[in-house]
Amino acid sequence: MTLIDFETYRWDAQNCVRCSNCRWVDFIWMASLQFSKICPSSARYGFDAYAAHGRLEIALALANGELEWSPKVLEEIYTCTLCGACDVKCLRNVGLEPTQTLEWMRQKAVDDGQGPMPEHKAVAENIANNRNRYGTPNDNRGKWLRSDARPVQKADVLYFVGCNSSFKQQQIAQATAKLLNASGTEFMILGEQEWCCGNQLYNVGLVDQAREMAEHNLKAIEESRAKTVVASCAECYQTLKVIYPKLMGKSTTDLGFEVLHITEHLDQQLQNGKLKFTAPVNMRVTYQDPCRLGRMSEPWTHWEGKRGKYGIFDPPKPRRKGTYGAYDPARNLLNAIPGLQVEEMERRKDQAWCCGASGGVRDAFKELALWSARERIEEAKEVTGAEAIISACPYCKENFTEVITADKERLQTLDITEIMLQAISPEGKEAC
Amino acid sequence: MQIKEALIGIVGAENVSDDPQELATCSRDHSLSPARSPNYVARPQTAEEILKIVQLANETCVPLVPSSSKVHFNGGAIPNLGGIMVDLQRMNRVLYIDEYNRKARIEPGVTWAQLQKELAAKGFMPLFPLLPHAQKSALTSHLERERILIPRFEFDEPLLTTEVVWPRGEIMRTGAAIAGIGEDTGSVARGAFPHGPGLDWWRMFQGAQGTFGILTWGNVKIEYLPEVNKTFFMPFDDPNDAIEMIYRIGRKVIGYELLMLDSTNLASILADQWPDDFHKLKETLAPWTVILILSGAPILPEGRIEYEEETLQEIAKELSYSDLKTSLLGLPGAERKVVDLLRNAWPEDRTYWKWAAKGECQDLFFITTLDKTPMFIEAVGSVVVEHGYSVDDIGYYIQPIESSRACHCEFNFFYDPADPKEVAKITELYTDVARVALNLGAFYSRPYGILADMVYPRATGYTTMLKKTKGVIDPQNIMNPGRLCF
Amino acid sequence: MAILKEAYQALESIVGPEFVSDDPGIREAYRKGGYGKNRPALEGQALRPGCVILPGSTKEVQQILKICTQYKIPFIPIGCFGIATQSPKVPDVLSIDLKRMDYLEIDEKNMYAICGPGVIYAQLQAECLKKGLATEGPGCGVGATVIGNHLNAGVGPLEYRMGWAQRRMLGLEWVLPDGDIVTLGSTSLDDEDYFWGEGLGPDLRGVLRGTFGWQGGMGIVTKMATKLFPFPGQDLERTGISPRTGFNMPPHLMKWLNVFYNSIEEAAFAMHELSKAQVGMALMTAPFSWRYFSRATSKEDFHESWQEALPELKETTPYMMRIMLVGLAGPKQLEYEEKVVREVIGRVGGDVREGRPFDESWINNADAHRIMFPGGMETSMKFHFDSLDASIELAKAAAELKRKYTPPLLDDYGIPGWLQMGDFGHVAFCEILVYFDPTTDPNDCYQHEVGFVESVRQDLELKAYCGLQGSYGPEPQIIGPAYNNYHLKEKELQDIFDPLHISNPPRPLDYAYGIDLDIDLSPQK
Ligand SMILES: Cc1cc2nc3c(=O)[nH]c(=O)nc-3n(C[C@H](O)[C@H](O)[C@H](O)COP(=O)(O)OP(=O)(O)OC[C@H]3O[C@@H](n4cnc5c(N)ncnc54)[C@H](O)[C@@H]3O)c2cc1C
Ligand code: SF4
Ligand code: SF4
Repeated sequence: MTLIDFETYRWDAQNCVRCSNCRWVDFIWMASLQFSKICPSSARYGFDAYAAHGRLEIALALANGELEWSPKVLEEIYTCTLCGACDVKCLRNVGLEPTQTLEWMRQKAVDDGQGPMPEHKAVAENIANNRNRYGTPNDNRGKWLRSDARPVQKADVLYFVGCNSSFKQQQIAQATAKLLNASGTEFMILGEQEWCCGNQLYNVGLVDQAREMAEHNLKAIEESRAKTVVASCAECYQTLKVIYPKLMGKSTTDLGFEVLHITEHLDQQLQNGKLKFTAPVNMRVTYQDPCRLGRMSEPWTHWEGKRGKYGIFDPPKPRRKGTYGAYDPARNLLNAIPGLQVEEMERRKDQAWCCGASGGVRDAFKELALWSARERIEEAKEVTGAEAIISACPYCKENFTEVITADKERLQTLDITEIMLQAISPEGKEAC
Repeated sequence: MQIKEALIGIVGAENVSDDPQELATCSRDHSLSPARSPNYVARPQTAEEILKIVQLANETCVPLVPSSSKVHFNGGAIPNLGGIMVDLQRMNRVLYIDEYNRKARIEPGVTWAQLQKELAAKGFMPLFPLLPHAQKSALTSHLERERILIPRFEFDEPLLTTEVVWPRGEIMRTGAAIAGIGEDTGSVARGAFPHGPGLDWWRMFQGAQGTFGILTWGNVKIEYLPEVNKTFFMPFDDPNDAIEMIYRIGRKVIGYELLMLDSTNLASILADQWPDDFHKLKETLAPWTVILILSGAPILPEGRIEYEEETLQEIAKELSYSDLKTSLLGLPGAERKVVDLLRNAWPEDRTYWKWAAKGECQDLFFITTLDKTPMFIEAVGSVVVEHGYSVDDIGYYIQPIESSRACHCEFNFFYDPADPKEVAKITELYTDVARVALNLGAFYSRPYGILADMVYPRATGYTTMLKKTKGVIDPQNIMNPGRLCF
Repeated sequence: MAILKEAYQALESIVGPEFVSDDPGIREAYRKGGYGKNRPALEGQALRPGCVILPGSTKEVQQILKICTQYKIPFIPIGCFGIATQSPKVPDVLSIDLKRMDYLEIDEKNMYAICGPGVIYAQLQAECLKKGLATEGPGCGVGATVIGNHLNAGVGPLEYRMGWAQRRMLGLEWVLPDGDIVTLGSTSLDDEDYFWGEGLGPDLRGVLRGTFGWQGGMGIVTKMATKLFPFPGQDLERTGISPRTGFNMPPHLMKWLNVFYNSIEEAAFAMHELSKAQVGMALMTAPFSWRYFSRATSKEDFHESWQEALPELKETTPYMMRIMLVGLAGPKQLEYEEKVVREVIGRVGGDVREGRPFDESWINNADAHRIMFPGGMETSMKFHFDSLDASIELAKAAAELKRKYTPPLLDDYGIPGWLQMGDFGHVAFCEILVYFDPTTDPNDCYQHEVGFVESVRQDLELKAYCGLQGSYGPEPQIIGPAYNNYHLKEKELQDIFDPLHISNPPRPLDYAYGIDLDIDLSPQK
């Protein structure tokens, strides 16, 4: 069974006017021909089957039995980073929610025994066997910890570390821990009781397996009695805040704890004077809004009902338009760092260009993921002349790093925790 | 004789002529185009009469050349292959002045002088080209896309809807007029919108020199006649500086009439007594003068002139230009005289300004962008000198179009038509200059006379399509054959 | 396979395998869309194309059309597919998606831009605003391609000063259905020179376009220059997060004045007097339903507040005339124009209120698509192009007719459309808009079609200029015969330039219009 009921969104697919807004940066914010696109998959492949509106047509045909599954059709639906830009754009002018259908198609692919892509299955298998994406024993999850990062046994704040920072880019976890300490935040971690959040499982349509992760992690959090869960990974953050309630048929407000991204938490600490940046970081940087921290992070409100004439939801359904994404905390933090010059790219906040890593794309369609990252790096260089592109999600950084290394770019990429670490202690510089 | 009789049957004996003398007057005009007489002149007065003439022409394969003005300048109405000259001067009614929608429905025989007079009585003015001959048809001026003096409006197309007798023998209106013209006819339609039905037929008739059909009337845009005006003369030594001024004025969208003349043309226009006034003026005038008339709108006119003048001052300051003048030295009242001149046809009681110098004038004009005009001026100058002609004797006129995004660039070559040697010389010069300008990118949007032979072979794609289109509209090629590329 | 293997291979050798596909999923994405989507009269059965291709250059387009000619393959040019007339009505068509051809060059000094067929208005406007210039985006939204829209529609909120798109077209490069290239205007003499649209001699832009255009039925325009206009775009400040994004307008240079009326006649009179005074950059009168769309946060929100407000709106029939003042010459002009507006409104009556110095729609968005909030589809019962007085007369009659079909059309009040002038008031445009849901109840859709055809007859009866030419309505059945059979002349041109009828058949003269609907298409009822 798919989690999403296509019959609720059939009306959207039928009534998409094909204005193509979902392929472009908000027209007000569009500032140049060069950086005017917003849908990576459509920009990369050209055919409309790779844009939200084309995928809606495909969904309709699949639902009506007018289109058969094929490897190509799977490619058409999985070469999408589920970055949410199409929803933001469509909701501005037309009022449809294409990503609901994009998610449904993947769930249907799995249901029909067609999806996900083999690469996704491999990751899913790792998770099934080892509770993390990488297939290493989950006992190693806490190994990133260094002596200078000090979690406590019991605290109101739980740091949900995530697979990537636990196993691959551990410096992000280390920086996060130090920043929590430096801001006077006592925090705990779940250690091996932390399982992969399941973001990718959900995104590729593996709903049941994703729910298993949700159930486990929610239970672990409940048992920890944490009041606030802080994530340094934008994917984990969105999973906890949005996908879990969606999977569990409830609203974000019913979770029983607050979910914050590290940037949100530290911004609060900055505002109330508990965090101070004292060491200058003389650098010109630009900031990448991770999709899942920005436009896709609005809280989830559970809705049940039916759809009537004119596409009216009964009862009314709240739409998530990307308005209340966490855009400002990261900017507040960066702007508070002495010596740091922060320049905006043309595509920013709700209109940010996806780095290309998400939605299972980096695993199954690496070429698209790197292409998307390369586009963003060009923008960072051309528009801002930046020395570094800062993100707030390990997957963005990982994807950027691969391109920067391959292309021998002079531009650096850093996670926001890493640059903040430099600003609280001169040693931070060496640590990065 | 059969044709003559048929014509008499259509328009009456008094309106048909094959009198050699009359035919001879139709055989030439004020251009260098070779003379050629029609076989008949017919003067219809209604669309139905024209329709019958067209049907006759189709039956007999006799060419038709429509003619609306009393004077012609570009050779367009010279019957290249003889035939019937359809003289529309009798169709000279201003059929309706639609004050609400600022348009006038006029017949082809309505002259500039007449139109101006009838409109002025109601507080309106036509959209004038530069000092047209009083006897020239206002409708054909617009049909032939003569550029208007006011680049303020973002539209440089005064022609709206038309009624046309099509070469295949039917009367069909273009644009919204196909549904009705309002007035007292009981239609909701007012005939204001030019496009359609289906395609933009009206565009095909434009610039066609009578090769696509015969207009029986046209709705043309008119404007309120401003009551408050202020003229500025801006003298320049270097055309590049003048051009920059025109660009900036265009960008700020100020003023009504805006144009640039050289001292020869400006002196020709302003001189009351020839040749003394002309020479005196020419000496005092700068090589180039940009003329700008600021005009008030019907509501709070002074306020507009005030801010526009301030804007002009600011532009002058930006350009470090300190010569903004509201009068001309040695010609008291020139500022009022210019307004008067530019909003009228050339006075009927005076020799046409282009003919005053030597009796005749051959114009070479094309469309280009303002930044290229100094290059054309220089190139034309060199050719002229090579031909032993003095640069000083040429007239220059630059007319910015649509906020200065393009311009009409015109060179006037004055000559004595009575002197065959001079005629030959000027013909050679004109041909050379035209070729040089073409090679430099001059766009002859209305290729008259020899220009047609120069441009159409170069534009093979366009010419092929044009011929095919003409084949649909006028399959028997009865309309002014031999004129353009068919 | 739908398209001959041999032809497919030839196409592949032109663009490379990456840019041509006959995959069913890819083809499915080119079946339906745009204005009139789900209206069977316009899109018929909406077949899947046989193949989709993405050319990257004029040369490729030319080669593709030659292949189409050789194999008699019908093709459909596609900009952004904003109109349902790109739904294949005949089997095995080649859909030619032009989005890769996004060439753009602006001549700042001479105020024109050369666009490839993939360039959308928003891109053009973004580049223009930086240079103190502007274009006019169409009402449907600036996601439309510049060329697709110039060739086939081109009605937007700034036409008071910028005119309709027909007149903004300058030099252009056009691949005819048989693959031959023709260039118009200044480009006819010099491939590089696009600044001028007319000529040589007779203006063949007349063959390219009319009230509306060929709807893809006459080859492919591969490059086109469009006029640009002075506009202080550098002074606009982008602001806001979706969905409330907009430009902060520089208060010293731009201003909205809104004037409220309770009858369309009063509003029109005020518009007329303002145009006479030659003030304003944009001027329009619209019904209040637009305010409700634009303020609504969702469909439900719209319908709730609309139902609540409607009884009173029906009583008071309010209209809002909006005028955007822009100091092209600087702040003094703005001051002057405001004075004029207040003076004029003082004379003619009306309640002037200063609007927030903010624009979310007219300059670079024109989000007619929020117009989709109420129904499933917005269509136009009438496009009326003529004069202001004609528009008012017709609009009133249209409103009466519309009531007959309400429901299924969404209930509203007064004159349900927008009214504006072009060329500083010489011409005017009025569009009567209707909103309905074509997908939930098929009978609603059918009723809409019946009303639509009746509206055409109404135009003819009242001798109003019926603007539904160019595949938007029963053109060869009703409109053409009433207007001197102009459509037959058009057909003759089509026979000459597209003898095989491969360019988007059966458009524009769609004899298949509404054929399955069993609607009476006789000229008079
Ligand atoms: C809700 C709604 C409101 C609308 N309101 C308006 C409005 O206010 N004003 C307005 O102007 N339009 C309006 N439209 C109509 C329409 O959407 C646009 O005019 C259209 O989008 C044009 O741009 P496009 O890029 O989508 O062109 P397309 O739809 O892709 O193309 C339009 C036609 O031109 C053909 N074509 C495209 N490119 C080329 C080319 N290069 N050469 C030859 N033929 C080509 C296509 O085959 C098609 O038939 C509206 C549409 C909708 C859905
Ligand atoms: S923005 Fe919405 S309505 Fe427009 S094309 Fe995309 S999905 Fe369709
Ligand atoms: S989610 Fe992102 S990548 Fe996927 S269709 Fe929407 S905009 Fe494109």
